[in-house]
Amino acid sequence: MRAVGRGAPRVVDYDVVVIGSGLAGLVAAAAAAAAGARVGVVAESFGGLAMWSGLVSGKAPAGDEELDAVRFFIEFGVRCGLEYGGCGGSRGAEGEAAREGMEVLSSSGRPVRCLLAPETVWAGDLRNWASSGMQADDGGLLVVGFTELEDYPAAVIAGQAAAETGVRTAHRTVSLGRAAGRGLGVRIAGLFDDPAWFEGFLEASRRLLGREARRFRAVALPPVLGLFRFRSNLEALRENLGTAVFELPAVPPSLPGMRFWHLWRWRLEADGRTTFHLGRRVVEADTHGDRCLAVSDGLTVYRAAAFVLATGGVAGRGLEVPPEAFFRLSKPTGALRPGQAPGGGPARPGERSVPVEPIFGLETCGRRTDWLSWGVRVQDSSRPCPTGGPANVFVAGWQLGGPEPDALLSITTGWQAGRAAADCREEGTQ
Amino acid sequence: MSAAVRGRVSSERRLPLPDACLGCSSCVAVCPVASSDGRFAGPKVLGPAFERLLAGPWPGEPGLGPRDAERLGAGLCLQCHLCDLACPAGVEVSSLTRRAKALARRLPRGGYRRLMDDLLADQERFGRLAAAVRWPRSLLHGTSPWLGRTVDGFAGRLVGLHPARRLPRPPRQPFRAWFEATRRPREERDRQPVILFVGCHGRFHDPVVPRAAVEVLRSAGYRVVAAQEVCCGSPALSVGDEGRARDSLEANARLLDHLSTRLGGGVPIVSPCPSCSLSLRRLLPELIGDGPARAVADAVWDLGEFLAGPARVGLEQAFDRPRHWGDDGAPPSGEEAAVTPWTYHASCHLRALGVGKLFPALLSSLEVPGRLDAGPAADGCCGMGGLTGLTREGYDLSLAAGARVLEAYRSLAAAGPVVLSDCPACRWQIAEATGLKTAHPVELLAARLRDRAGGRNSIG
Amino acid sequence: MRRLAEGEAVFDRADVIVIGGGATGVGVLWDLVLRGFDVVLVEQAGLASGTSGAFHGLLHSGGRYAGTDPETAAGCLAENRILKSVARSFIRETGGLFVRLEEDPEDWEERWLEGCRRAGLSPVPVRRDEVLDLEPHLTSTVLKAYRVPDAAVDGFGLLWSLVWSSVAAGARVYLRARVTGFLTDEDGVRGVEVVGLGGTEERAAAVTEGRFPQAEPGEITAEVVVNATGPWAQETAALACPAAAASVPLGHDKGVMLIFNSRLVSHVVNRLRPPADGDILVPHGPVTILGTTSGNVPGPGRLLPEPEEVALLLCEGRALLPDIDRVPPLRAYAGVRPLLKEAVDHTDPGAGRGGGRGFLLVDHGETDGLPGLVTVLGGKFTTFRAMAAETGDLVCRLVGRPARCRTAEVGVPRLGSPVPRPPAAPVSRAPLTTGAERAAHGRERPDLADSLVCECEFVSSSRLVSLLDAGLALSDARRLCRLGMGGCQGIFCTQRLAGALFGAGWPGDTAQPRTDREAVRAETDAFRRGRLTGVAAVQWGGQARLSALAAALERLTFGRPGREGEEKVR
Repeated sequence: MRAVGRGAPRVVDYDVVVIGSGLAGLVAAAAAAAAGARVGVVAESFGGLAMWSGLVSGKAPAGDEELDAVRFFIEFGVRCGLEYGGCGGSRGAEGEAAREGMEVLSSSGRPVRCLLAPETVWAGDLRNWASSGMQADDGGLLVVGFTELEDYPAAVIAGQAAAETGVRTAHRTVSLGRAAGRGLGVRIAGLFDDPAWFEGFLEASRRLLGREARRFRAVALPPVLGLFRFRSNLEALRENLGTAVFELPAVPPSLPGMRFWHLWRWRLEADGRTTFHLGRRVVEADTHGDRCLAVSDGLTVYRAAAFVLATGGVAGRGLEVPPEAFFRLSKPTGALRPGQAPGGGPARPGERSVPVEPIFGLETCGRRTDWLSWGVRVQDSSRPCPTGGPANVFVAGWQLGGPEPDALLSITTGWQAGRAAADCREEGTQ
Repeated sequence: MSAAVRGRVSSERRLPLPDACLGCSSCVAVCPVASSDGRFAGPKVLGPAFERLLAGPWPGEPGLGPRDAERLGAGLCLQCHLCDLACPAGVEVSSLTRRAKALARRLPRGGYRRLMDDLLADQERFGRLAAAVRWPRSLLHGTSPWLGRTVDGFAGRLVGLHPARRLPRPPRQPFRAWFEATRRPREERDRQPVILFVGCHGRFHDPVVPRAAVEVLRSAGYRVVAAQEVCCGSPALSVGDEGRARDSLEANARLLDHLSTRLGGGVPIVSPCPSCSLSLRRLLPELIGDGPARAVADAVWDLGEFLAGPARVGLEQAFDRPRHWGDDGAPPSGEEAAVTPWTYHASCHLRALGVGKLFPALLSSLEVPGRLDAGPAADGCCGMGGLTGLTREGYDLSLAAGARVLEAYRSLAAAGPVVLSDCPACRWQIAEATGLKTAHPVELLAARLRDRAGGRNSIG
Repeated sequence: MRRLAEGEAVFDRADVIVIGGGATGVGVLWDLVLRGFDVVLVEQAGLASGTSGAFHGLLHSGGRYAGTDPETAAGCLAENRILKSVARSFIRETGGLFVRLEEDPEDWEERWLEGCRRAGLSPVPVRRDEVLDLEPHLTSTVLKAYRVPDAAVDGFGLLWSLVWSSVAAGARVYLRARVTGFLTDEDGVRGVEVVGLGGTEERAAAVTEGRFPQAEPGEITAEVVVNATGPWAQETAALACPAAAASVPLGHDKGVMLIFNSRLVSHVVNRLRPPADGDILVPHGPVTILGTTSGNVPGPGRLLPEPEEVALLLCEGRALLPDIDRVPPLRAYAGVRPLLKEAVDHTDPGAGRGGGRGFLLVDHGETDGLPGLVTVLGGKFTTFRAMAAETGDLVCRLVGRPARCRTAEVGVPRLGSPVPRPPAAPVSRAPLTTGAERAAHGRERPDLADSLVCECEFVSSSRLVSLLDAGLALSDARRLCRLGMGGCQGIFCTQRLAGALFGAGWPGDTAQPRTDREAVRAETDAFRRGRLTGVAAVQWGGQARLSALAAALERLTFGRPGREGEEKVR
């Protein structure tokens, strides 16, 4: 026997424990905290947010619940210092603008349809351009790239945008100097957050682009204009260049997603109701009857009245597809019953607790392969398992809806799950 | 086993995982160095991608070498492990970047330079050296502060410190001496024991923090046992010297296991330094991995985690506070006369520990007033980067790397706050770069305990 | 077939035309160049884009055939030794292990050893514990093991080096040029008609496939035409006359291989049992290839690995490497073995592996009264030099210019060693140049001096651009430098690639920038699509997550069309 064992048990108590801190997890935590719950977020890292371009896609919000969720999302975002809006940046009285959607340029020059977008891309809403009678000779678009940032080839993007949208485009590539080093987007964002450095950049950009930029309707920049100071930076650039300025999405790590994560997490922490346990992976759950009592990361036990499972399907490890499941699913007849993990065994919370139903396939090169299968049908209550399974565990995330990345579903299910979980606490205390 | 097969082979992980990298860049997003230092190629390139070509494009062919590792900035990796936590594919990125670091270290350097680098990386030796000259230094500082500073500056340059970095003042009384002098074995006999892992900074340079930790733990009703310890291995690892880190960890595992057994087993090991906690908790299983090492790792707590967890009840009693705090967490108004405003900075290693930011919540719950929020931008790397920011070559870059965070604290200067941080390196950087006062949060707690009646929370 | 007019202007003229840029064709090219002939090679797609680009990268020692066909085994062993001496830099002497597991038949071992003896191969027994020392991931159910001189061969590098050496010696190599007919005169076959990239449809295909700028169809004349088109041999012969096709006894056998993104073994590992599916592991560069399956197919069309085949491989692979499920699969690919027909029994799906690894030389002058046309058929990568040697002998006889085969003596230069440059030629007419050769030199050690286009395999943009500058298509360059062949399979590098291509002024004619961009996009889209083909059949574990991530990125970051749009693009 070893003398040194576990010291005192590490147990922490919350009203609601949210597992995962991606888009759905953060929205769930915010919703639960707003409902008065003390929230613990147990997660490994950014979740999928480091790969998220920041655009909210999906089907237009239909029901009142969905509109409420969108409203909550927009309002909380304002408190975080990262505004979201639809239709040319209009917040709308009630988030209604999201129904209209926007069409923003992507980094391959093709327009992307989305419902909501962060403030940094509002000026790039092509629909807005069209509605204001944009003509071919009316300015056009100047795509500015940075020599050091090779993930964002301005020349290619400008050409592609011209071909795809019919807008007149031009491109310039400016160098950021030695400080940008190897040109990682996160490093460049770090420079933009440094007021002294940005002063110099502003000066240089006025010199290099000033006269020219004025002639354009808008200037598109890579999405690296600061992790925190993006708002004032964009404002200053707009003034200096004398025209609208916006960011285009680029490859991961995606700054718009990282901003979202940092700002929402900071706001939640500063509000004082939410504690983040990052770098933690939930590996087991203690369930009793139809209730989950606690989850554990192998070192610490997190007890709560209710749990939100927002482990994601892509970046998180909410999704596991063992080869057998793949081969089984690759046949059209292959089907797993709800409540079953892809491996065929019973679902275990945390590890593979999301029940599976084959719901989609992907076509590659003219061949349909049901290559992946996960998710549950969205229940009104966001409960993970329609039959059986713990009643105080709520699932959130876009993978609930199927293969298409649908950030709106993350928002709505996160909001539903967070509120439902917070309600559980009241049930428990009564 | 054949050298051509890459990756670690252990009983747990029989197959190498570097190639599981999806290339998703989550590690880059989370890396404090990637966002602050342009020379660093990022964990994705220095970890899985580098590892992939380390063994050569084909078996038996030359792979990447020290020069490549250096060119990609391998030496800058802090070994903070945040990348490991971010990886959705389960790749242990930091153990891969460590191999690149070790490779970069093989580049030829001048003999004197190497000697001094090794000295800085070997905090145990450096600390002992500092302890040996404590007396003459104290005497010098006592007779003429100017002379003391001048000699310190000279000594600092000798070991390769940047002129702006000042060596810490010699402690009046080393921690150990103070600890032995204040121990009350008879009174404390029936109390629950806690092993305090002091850390090199506390042992050799700044006894104030461990003293405060001991005071607070004692007030919470524990019998504190100061561990026989050596350096946790973190500084060695940060320069890529895995061998030395391994030796340190092994020695610590043996010492702590032995001590815990003597105290009856299962004794929590608490450290006020997050780098030490992280090193013991994460690297003991990874680099040593035997039974005692794992058991020791399991028993390690970061001080904040311990005070907010098991010691919470005792601490609340000491503060004479009800057990449950109000939901708003706002300080009671009108009660305090002179309030020292404070703000909290989480170090990279603390974030990598994954315990959450427990000290600010704890301080709020104990109604320590004066909390300031430095905003979201303050949440990041201060730029010190372990030891690299101290050196002549690393100084400017360390200020640039921490610009965003330091600027956030500077913006609070008007309020005259003390910046609380668990990490000695962060405190050093923030204090020198912003001119603000810094302290370990446990100092604030200890000060509050000492000065409860007056309602002041000044740090003495 | 068209009769050549008297004094007709021709595009190019040589002693011998070789059709087909696979191992056989390039081997014949090399052989004839060394014999002093003036040779032209015509390839419809990229170099090694058919069977030679989809084999398992194994240089046989003959061990695999010892139990069934000692004669073939002996042939393999001889070639193995020759290639190791002349093409040392493209062969990695990993050594091979034949391992017998508990479930493998015991009597086979004796038969195999007897076969080895007859083939002149002397397997060295390896102790059981020693095996696990050598290959720690291997199953512990290994009973017996033998060491043989198997090796891994870098097929792309070897063929490119042969091509560049030949070009340096004066041969012309036309890639992406398809033979549409033969030219004849009273003496028989006199040459070929080649369609380059002239037609509209083909122009479009060319933009997606590659960048060969040859515009007009042309005629190439020679004294002898060698048809070395592997699985397309019958089709090609049919262009001459139906009788010629009939005398080409060709059968097609599909083989599927699975790549794991990890170097799991350091030796070639074979199972000591009658050759079957999924019993070879080849360490190839940074990856491991698990092969292969066998099944008859009607023709050489574009074949995709089926999930059933992959499942079969994985199941068999598990017997050798129990933990194989934990390793990320990278992709699966399929190749077609061109086999001699008499060896293929259509009733038995596994018969393709059973025999028929030999090769056949058809002199159509003898069989069909078409002098000047020779078809070389069958064989395998390991024996390509021997096939070429015999073909060369035949060509010498036909032309009446005896010359000795020197391929067993002259070393193949490693990539990057200095080769005299041919005189500069106008771009539109130039076949391959040797410039790219130097660019390929970076292969030995990744070049970190400038930015990386591909972070998974450390491919720098300057290296890629220098390969492209030298006349290689993106697909050729990709194979040579492993661009986009690592873990992310092009998801993250496609945009950088587009930037690098555009930044290099690709494809060179700047008069029409719009076309450039379209070409860049077409090329990069094709690149990405090509990567997707291989991963569709391995969607489990990390690869499944990666695909989900890719779908999200395509949709929200790149705005690339989703599933509906994919169809349109195609």
